[in-house]
Amino acid sequence: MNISFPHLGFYHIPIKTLLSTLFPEAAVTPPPPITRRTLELGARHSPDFVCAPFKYNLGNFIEALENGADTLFSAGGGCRFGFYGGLIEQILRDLGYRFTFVSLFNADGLKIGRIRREVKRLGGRAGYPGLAHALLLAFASVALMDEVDIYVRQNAAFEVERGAFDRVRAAFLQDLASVRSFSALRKTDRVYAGRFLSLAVRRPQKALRVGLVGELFDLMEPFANRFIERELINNGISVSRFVNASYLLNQPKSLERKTVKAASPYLTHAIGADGTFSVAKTHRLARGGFDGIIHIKPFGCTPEVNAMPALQNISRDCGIPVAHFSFDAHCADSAVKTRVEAFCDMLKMRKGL
Amino acid sequence: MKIGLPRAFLFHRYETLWTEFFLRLGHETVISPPTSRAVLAEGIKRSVDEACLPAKIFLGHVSYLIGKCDYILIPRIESFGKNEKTCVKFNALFDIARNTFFECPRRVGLSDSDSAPGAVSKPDPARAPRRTALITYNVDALKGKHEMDGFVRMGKMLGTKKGESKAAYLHAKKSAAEVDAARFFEELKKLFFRGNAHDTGNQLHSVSPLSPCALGAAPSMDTVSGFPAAARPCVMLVGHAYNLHDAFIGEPVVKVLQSLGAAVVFADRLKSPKLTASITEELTPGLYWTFQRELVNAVGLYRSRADGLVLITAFPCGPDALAHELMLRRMSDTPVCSLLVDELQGEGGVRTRLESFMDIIRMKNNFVGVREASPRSAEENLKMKT
Repeated sequence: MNISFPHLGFYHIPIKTLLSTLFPEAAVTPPPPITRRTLELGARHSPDFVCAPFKYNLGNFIEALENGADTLFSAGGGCRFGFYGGLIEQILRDLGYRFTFVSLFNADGLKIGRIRREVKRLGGRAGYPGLAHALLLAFASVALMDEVDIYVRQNAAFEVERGAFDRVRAAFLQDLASVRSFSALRKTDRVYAGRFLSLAVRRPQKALRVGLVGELFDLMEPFANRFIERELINNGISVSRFVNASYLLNQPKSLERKTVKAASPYLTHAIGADGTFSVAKTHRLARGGFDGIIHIKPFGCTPEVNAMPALQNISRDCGIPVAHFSFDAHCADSAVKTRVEAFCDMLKMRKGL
Repeated sequence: MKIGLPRAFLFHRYETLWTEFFLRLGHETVISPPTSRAVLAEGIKRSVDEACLPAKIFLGHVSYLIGKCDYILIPRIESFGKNEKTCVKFNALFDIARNTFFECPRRVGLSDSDSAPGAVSKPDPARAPRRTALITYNVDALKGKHEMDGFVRMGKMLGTKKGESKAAYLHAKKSAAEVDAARFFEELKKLFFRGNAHDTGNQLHSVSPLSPCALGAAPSMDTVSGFPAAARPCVMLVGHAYNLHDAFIGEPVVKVLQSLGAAVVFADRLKSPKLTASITEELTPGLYWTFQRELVNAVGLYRSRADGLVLITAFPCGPDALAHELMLRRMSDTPVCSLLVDELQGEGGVRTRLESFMDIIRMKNNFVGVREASPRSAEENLKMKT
């Protein structure tokens, strides 16, 4: 058995650890890193105006199957995402591939019983203690990764030695890949906390702060947003982003009501998937002294399109610039770069830098 | 009071329910006219570029109604139960309209400190005696918010007592069910007897829908094309009610099909009271949008009676993109023509595609010659050329 799953940022590291613990006999190979070819493959076989994450997932699966994978893991939930699995499976079968397709969680959310059933069916280790340990370790690794990411995003723009943050982060991810226990994870945490804090940072008096809001896949997958975070950091901006895997995994039931409340008076009800969160976050950041907001979504993402009228009103009422970026299968890097640069220049002029 | 109903989106589904409810409570309803170029242009101007075509049309209708009524009804519908969701557009329509039209005073108030001057002007009773506000009802059965509760609350906002609203709702629901049943049998009649292609539209028959004569009253000869009704190809139009019955999206397609001599059956009106889960699972496994499932259900149950299917999608409909693709991939027994309609649509393109589709159906079913022999078609061809 050769297991594979779609990419999402750097999260393939904890997912790979998780799956190889659950299936000790199987080979777990994440698909090759996302390239232009992945996107082209995915776009060629997708319906025309399905959203970009679908195209990336499909491209990942095709490349994984080309590499010899025979068991594909998929996830779902939220708006259209919950219905991805069925169509992706059909498209891959029509292309003539033979594989087992496993959907670990769907629109209902994460259910441990369901995961256990699927693991058992595939002949993996499904004892409760082992499963619980593996899942908790994966969650803890994800939490640590997100913590590191947040620190890097906020500070990398002001590094003294160019590329230092990226270098330490790469080393961290490499070490994380070999972590198999909580003690090893704690050790990694300690070591890299020290290394990150020892990196010299020269933060100017008036540093520009930009918040990223929008659709989760395009926010978390750097290729999908044409490395927009990197672009902002290169322009000397401290970046904040609140949508990450930890946010997705720790969503209490009461969150929706709280989010709607935070988005009031612009929203009275939830507007679907992460659209409500985008509005609530933008509203809060606008009050919290941020200099600008970048709203990222795949083309035609209904929840985020729903959020746009509210975002435009927040922008007008609170006087904060909001830039909207839509990504699809065709996107030139230079177009994004130009727009980001112009946005940054405008922010600098507003602040008198 | 005057309640405005935008003739877009869910109006096409809940027309009777809404009008009867408000009528019963003693309110007047104002319905915006069928979508015109002007309405569409206004909608496009008011919308985010990437919003779907029906949403743009919707905002056009809302804009038309502002100033012509006291309240505009925009429901918020999320779910009817487990695996019975709606497109997220319907979760947000109310908020989108609120955020788009500042001339509507917000019912859920924006406090003064929250807004910059000019964003929301306070209603000045002397200067603007009648302003339009938005009114909504929320349906989210998964969270225990059912349709009737929503209507009762809405009635309360309009100053009606709970019992009265409830009675009005039940009455409206019953009339809506009757109208739906009448339409259902109308479509079945077309499907099985191929008649009445030219008087489809919105006309309802005065014959009681449930009486057997309604089913049996198929004309033996088609008066328009002069051919036996049974020989006419029957085309099933598959798409959301708000697309099929919209004057800009669906009606041109219906007209073209009818002028080509087809009996047009609307899949959205063939919704069964209870969905057949096995059919949806067979054609589109895992589908959880109610409106979509009703269509898939109709396609699964009745497509063998139709000679061809025309799928209508408006650009860029998210659920359709997935569901139609899956349906197409799993259904090889029926000729299908998939039409994508956007705001720049010209009738020429639609006509060309539908003509060739009809030719395919005719060839497949040996209907060859019917079109040429039809006295009407020559005339129409001439009309097309001029």
